[in-house]
Amino acid sequence: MTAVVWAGVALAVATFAMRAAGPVLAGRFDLSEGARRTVDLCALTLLAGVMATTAFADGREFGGIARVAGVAIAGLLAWRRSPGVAGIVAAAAVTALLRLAGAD
Amino acid sequence: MTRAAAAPYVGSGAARLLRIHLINDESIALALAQPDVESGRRGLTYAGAGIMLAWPLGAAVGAAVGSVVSPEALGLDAVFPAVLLALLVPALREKSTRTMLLVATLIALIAVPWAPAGVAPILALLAVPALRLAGVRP
Repeated sequence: MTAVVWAGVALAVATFAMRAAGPVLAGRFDLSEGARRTVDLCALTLLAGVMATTAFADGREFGGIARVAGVAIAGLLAWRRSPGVAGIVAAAAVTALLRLAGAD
Repeated sequence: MTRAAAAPYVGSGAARLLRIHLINDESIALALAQPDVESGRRGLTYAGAGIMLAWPLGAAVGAAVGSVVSPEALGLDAVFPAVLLALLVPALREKSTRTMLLVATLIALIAVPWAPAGVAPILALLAVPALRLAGVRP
């Protein structure tokens, strides 16, 4: 039991250190405007990669058209500046209804 | 990399230590989507704090409800990518970053069937040097 608690504490400390490392190191070097822009672009591309894979895939397989359609509708709503909640509800609702209608 | 992008938004002093604890994909995306550092800092704080509360609570509720209804039947698996896409919309409105994000998406999708688990989104990073080589300056 105590071993589990200590393992938990060690994990918490290590996780915090990993999170701190990014901002602290980035604050230590004076990044040029261009380098900062590159870091921002990398963060955006990573998010796009996560978005694409979670929208389209289940593991290595295609995750089905229902979820893709739900995410697309949410993206369209966000593009048209609808409130965030509307997009979230629409994504889940469209996906659920398509599955109900028999779409994969 | 996303952690380093959070640097301007964590502030300084004791608040910085607290905000570092609030760093995650969603809070960074929200911070980057703001027009200036001050509102980005607020975005990171509120999104991070909200997730810190909502995640464990949601996990508890989900464990209880999930044994009755499957999350897929409710379309809940579409919510995470939908939120990320919504957060990318400001960058998608700018033509230069839009091209880069489209390329990143394509790379990730092409990589999914053969890349080891979790690596496909990281390969999307290749969009940055690829567009540099192609002469596009986002």
